[in-house]
Amino acid sequence: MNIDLASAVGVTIGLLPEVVLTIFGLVVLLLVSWRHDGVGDLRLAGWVSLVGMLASLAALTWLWVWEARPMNGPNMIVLDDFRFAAAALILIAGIATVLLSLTYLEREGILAPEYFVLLVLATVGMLFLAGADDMMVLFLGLEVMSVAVYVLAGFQRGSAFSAEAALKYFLIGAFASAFLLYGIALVYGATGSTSLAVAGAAFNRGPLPLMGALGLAFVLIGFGFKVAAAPFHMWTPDVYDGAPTPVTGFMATGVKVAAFAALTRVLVGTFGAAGDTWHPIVAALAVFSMVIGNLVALAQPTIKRMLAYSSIAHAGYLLAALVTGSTLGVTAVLVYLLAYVLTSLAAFGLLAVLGREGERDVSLGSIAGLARRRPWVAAGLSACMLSLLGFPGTLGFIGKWMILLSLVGQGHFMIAVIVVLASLVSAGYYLPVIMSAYMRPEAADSSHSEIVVSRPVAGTLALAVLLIVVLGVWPTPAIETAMASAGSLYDGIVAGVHHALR
Amino acid sequence: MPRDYSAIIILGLFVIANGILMIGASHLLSATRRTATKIAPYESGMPVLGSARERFSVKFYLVAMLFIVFDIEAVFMIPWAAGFRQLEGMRGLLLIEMLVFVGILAIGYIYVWKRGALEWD
Repeated sequence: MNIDLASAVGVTIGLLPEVVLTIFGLVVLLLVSWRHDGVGDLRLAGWVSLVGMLASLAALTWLWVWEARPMNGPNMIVLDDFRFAAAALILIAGIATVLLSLTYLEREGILAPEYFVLLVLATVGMLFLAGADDMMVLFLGLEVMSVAVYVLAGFQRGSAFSAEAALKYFLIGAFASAFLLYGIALVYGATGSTSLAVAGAAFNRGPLPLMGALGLAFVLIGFGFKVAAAPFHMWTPDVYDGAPTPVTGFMATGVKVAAFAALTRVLVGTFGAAGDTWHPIVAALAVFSMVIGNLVALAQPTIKRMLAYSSIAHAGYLLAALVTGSTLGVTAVLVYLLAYVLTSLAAFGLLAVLGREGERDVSLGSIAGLARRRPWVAAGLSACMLSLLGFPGTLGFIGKWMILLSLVGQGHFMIAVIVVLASLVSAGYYLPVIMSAYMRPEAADSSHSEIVVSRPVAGTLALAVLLIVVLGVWPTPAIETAMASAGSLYDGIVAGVHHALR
Repeated sequence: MPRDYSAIIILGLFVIANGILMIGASHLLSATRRTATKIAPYESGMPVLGSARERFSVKFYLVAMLFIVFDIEAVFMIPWAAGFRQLEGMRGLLLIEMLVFVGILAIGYIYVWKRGALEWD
């Protein structure tokens, strides 16, 4: 199906998932204007948001199945399988977050249905970020996403930590956006276009000009902040720790997928010809993130902070896959993102379930003996930890294996060794969680028997854990889809350059 | 390329030199007798009453933020209105696009109104 993105109807069809989700976001906002009190209205807003995300996912699947491709170029948005795969991951993160939040908000007494409006609008921003073929659309998507997530981080209004998280995220996020915008301005200055394809065609003609290199540096710094890569990670622990746990899960998954999708497109597409310039920089960021994230995670007293540092380490693994800049590398990024999204959502969901009065305090000690009282919760937590570690039999292993494959295939042996060593170190903080749940005696004052897992939460978590294990044993569909999507990204880039040169 | 920027560089140098000259001259030539009034932040304005680090009602910020939203709406409308005349072939599309934009803002406005952010008390 070829779509003419120069016409109004074509753009509407090409942006159908985003349009549907925006309409639902506005419907929820209108709903919230009148129905604003109590648990019933909160649930109503949540379920309408869920329907909106499912409708958006249906529209996305429709575009994906019918192989929507642009008829001409350059355009403001892309139509390729890479965008569809990233958007599907974002919507999965959004759907799971809605389901996990319903019970959480009721339990914590956060009875403000605006939560779901912000969640839907943040997802819209992420979809635009993943689907942008123009730096203006990219920046717009980034801001729509970020502004909504800043507010979500501070949604627990009674908690000083939540307010701290929101303020830190806002100030540093605004700073990072400024860097990115400056980079975009420099790329525009060097090429005369904000289109990723046209700028890429201009950089293809010769060596990277100084202004283009500066633009690349600023863009990398901006994205480095957004994906929480070291040395731009300083905000991550406090923000992830202070935000309400489902929001932390959403930040760790949705924001990361959207930012990585856009970063991949910018690096591989626009700066594809300047690989020699950005490969060492991205490699350094990857190594810093892996080393700092894993080593500091070892020393964290609570599980939530530990997961925050581990998310920095995972950003490092993903950047390591990007270093290759090859089709296999992009495939590895997608497979790893799938593994990371499912595992992180389940891990933060379980953490929200475990933390009855303040999930910030869930530590190794407080989950001692969990397996005896709540065997299913303990089993799910163990599967998540093993998948994050990259243990064979889980999807996390497949992701790491793909990353190593792409690194070794391109001769990046040193980075491959660092990935393996970093994973080894991460066993030092993932495995104690399992040991504590299964091998330590229950504390006298433990309250494991009071854990309540509502039906939507249990269903979401069970499905996520099941997918982690099933796709870990039988990864062919995930790998094949990722491979086709990565190939489609490169085809789209070639077509984009062709259109730009004509 | 540097030639293109020479006018800007000359302007920048002139501005800096001018600033240094004026401040330096007044610093060297003036008589300095410091009085309490002279070192106050606003020498010829209101006398300073208390500290500026006071808590303001959140309503001021709400009104300021809402003002910005609708101010920006107007800012977007001006280039749209200017372009409307020139882009003859796509006026229908332009009109629909502006209606969508205003419609989205209107929904936000309804929310703000219903939730009572426009009431001062």
